[in-house]
Amino acid sequence: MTDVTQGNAYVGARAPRVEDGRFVTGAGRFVAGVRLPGMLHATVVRSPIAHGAVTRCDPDAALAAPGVRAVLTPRDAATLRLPCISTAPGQREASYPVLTEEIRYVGQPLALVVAESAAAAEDAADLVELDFSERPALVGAEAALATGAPLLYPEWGTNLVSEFVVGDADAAAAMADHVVELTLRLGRVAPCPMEPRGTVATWEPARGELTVWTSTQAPHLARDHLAGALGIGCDRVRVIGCDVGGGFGAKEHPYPEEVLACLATRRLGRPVTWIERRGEHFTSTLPARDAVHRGRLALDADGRFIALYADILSDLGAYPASVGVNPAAVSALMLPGPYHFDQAGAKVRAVVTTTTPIGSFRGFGQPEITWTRERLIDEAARGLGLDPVELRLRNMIRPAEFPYPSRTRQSYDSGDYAAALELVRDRVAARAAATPRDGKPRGVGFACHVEHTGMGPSAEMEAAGINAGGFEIAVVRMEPDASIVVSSGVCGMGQGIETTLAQLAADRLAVPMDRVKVVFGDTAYAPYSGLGSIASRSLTVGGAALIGAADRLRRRILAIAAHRLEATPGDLEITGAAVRVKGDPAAAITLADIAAAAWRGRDLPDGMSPGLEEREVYDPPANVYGYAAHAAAVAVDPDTGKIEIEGYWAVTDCGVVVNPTIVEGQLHGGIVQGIGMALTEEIAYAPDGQPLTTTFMDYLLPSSPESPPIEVELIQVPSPVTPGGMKGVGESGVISAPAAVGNAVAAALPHVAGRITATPLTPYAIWSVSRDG
Amino acid sequence: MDFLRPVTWAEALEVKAERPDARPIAGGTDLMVELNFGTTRPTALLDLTRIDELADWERAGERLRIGAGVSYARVVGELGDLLPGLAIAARTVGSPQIRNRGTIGGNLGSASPAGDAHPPLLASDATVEVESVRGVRVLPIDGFFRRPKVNALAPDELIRAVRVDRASGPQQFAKIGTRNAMVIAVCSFALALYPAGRRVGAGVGSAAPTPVRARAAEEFLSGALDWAGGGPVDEEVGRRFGALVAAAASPIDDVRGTAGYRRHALAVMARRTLAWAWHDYREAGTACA
Repeated sequence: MTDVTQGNAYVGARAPRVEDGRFVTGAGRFVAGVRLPGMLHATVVRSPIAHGAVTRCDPDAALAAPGVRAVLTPRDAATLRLPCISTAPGQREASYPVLTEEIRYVGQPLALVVAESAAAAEDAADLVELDFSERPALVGAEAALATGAPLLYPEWGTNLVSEFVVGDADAAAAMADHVVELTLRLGRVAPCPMEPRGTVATWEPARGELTVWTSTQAPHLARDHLAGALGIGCDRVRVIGCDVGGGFGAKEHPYPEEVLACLATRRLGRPVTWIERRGEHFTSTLPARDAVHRGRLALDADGRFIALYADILSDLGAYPASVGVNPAAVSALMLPGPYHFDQAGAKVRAVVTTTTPIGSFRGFGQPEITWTRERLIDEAARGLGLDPVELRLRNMIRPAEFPYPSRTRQSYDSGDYAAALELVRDRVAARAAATPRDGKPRGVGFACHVEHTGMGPSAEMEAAGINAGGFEIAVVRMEPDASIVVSSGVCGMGQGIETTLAQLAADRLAVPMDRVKVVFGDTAYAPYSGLGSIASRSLTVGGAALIGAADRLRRRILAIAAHRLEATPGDLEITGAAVRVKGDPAAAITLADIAAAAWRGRDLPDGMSPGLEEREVYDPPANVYGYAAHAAAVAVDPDTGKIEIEGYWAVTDCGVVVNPTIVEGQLHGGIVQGIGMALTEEIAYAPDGQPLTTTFMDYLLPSSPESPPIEVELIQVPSPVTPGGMKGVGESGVISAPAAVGNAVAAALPHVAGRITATPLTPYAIWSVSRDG
Repeated sequence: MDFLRPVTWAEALEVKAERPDARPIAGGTDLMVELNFGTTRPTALLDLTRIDELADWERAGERLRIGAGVSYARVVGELGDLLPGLAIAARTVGSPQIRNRGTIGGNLGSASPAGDAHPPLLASDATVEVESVRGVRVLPIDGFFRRPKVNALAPDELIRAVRVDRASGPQQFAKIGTRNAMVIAVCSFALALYPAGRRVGAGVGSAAPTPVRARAAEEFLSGALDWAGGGPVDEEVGRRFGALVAAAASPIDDVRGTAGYRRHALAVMARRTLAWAWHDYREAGTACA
């Protein structure tokens, strides 16, 4: 219900981002810019082999090098472990060591060298003498299950970490007129935020306090886990999340390097910094995807979807890390997308291999399952001679069906899925450009998804094996001069949350945006957040908490004003920095007057406590589900296999749009990331476990020539769940993009369409399937 | 690591004679990457950026002499009419920043099989002017590349310039990468037509241990084109030319593509550059007539 006393100037407006001023003038405060007196620099010695053990680790030569102050080896960190936030059925370990002599991937930390300068530390790192015993490497999820495969954990007797079924197991064998089966792969990719990871830790022995500046999406989670790993009380650890130059999921939890920097500062009593080098990112920051899906879609003679099944095999890398099997579980949960199925289910298996452990990346299992489902649908349409858009529309969930229970335990809250697809089809049809007559095969591909956002109800997370609360807390304070401070547990990583929270607060309190300051990121001041800014939840959950707190503060202000003006609150409005009696311009009292008095504890209604500060805890009653329909138009060079994306369209519903410019930016960025996954990006390993793509010369991010014109259109069906009506959108762009591109390529090359199954679709890959097809 | 910074060419040669271990550095677009990755650790760097004469090019009649320190950006901006093949290749190098820093001499010094300047220099019969305190040598580009990242320089020699005739006919260059820009070529190819001599030059990059000339392809095509009449190129001629270019390569499998794909792509590029260049030749013929 809209309260007439609130403002409406900002929600929906293209408000300029308040954080951009400091970013574009070089005034951002990033972790690599933190300089403390006496600060030491750390560098990590990493494993050059994929599998085996350290048989000798001699730090003496390194310790003797100029400027070196310490070398930490596995013996110094024998008990230090980090916890898995998510655990899966059957998973034997719920934590992982920070430093161990057992080696399971190239790039695994083996020692930390701490020196007076980064250069001294790097030079000395080469002097740490290491001997190894080697075991055979294991690359590829299918190889992990093969008979005789090397075992990473011989005590397990298997490389299989977890196996479980989601939804209808029977979907695997459903009888139908038409069945399409494909084995689909979305390759392993690296998040590559512009700012690498990094940390500065300082231990103050006299206070018994550890302060950690770190590039993080979740400061409280980092604090809890660092305190737990180090055996220090949470009250003695302060994490200061800095400005963050992109996270994409890679920075949602602390890594071994952060624990080691903390350990080093405790040993040495001097601040210690570790900043990730670009090359390290490809082996030390958790990559993502790397799933093989054996998908099966069954349809009746009219093209009605009978059953969808996916046999999901996930390559976890060396161990189940922070989120472990959870991305594959989310693949299974979001299997059905926006369509009806009589039956839908998935079997999930996750295995360990001698590669870097995988983790979170924007989309979190959803690009993988969208690639599978949408590729199957297109091949079904081709087989049945149906228009792929028509086939989708025929099977889509309709607006009257909400809340809609999916076969995989999701309760979709709202939307008009067909409207999005019809709109994107119309946009594609309306494109102006005439097709060039260059003889290149061309195709348009569509893809649709429903996105799990706004995580989440704490009880549901407990049931899912996620060891964190899903609620958010907001504190809104009107200072004595009537300026507003919003404190939130979510945090900024470039996505614009500082701006959108300010927009929400400004409207709810009917004040100009420039009166609102948003603060977050510092565990000493910010309210607790178990998850931070991940999972497309910051605005949905953090914003809902803020709306609750701001509404309460507004009511408090109105109550004070009503008391002083001898009016009833319902006759009042906040406008022009004052509370006024409607229709009586003379009867007014300024917000500054109210605020100053409130903070002096005077002129308050009977029984009201002094001050103007309100707090709201919002534990979402349900998840909320965004959705989108995407289309890509491609041209394929038939001789070289090179793909050009000539047009891209996305229609997205993220409920109430607080700032269209920010939403469009999120979608543009996500779509280009998805195009990178589709066409150029891949973390590749040689059979001996050596990574082949450890620089930006070999790991190819999409650049401007790969970024087509992108047309984004937003439709707004407010979520009935979220106060404010928002649904998450941070991940939406990336989810459908690989599938839309893949479907477009398949449409351009119909004679080999059934072999367009694996990313990246490089010129070489396209040439290979075309030649053999 | 010593950092040596001569200000004259004579001084540079003396330093190189005294310190043959010193690695020359110009734009640093290759060497700094190696240093950053720790794959090389020279005992000394010999900075050539203060030597003015290296950064100039000059023309005497049809003959061009391009100083080793001339950047790709200047090749694009100043030599597009005189050496179109080299200019097209220079345009595909890296990003604007890399084109501002990277030099022709540096490309020859690094002698990477993937050096973008190499195929057009091979196709245009360039020679490399190298010098030491012992004197000047002028080496045909064809024998300049010895092994991956090894060239024909003696330890005390430095690259002074590239000598090459201005284009006497159409020139083309093509390369294939997984991404459109800022990418190491999967393979590359350059073609030059010499209407007066009725012959062609063909250079191949990224498809053998060194950049190579496709001699058999050159000889075949020189004899197969209708130079006098300017008649269209028979499809079979294009195919045969492509096959001979591909045969000149000895590519490898790597993360960017297989040897089979490289040979295929070379044949495609050979056919395409031939079609473009022959089109230009016929247009020029029409314009003269």
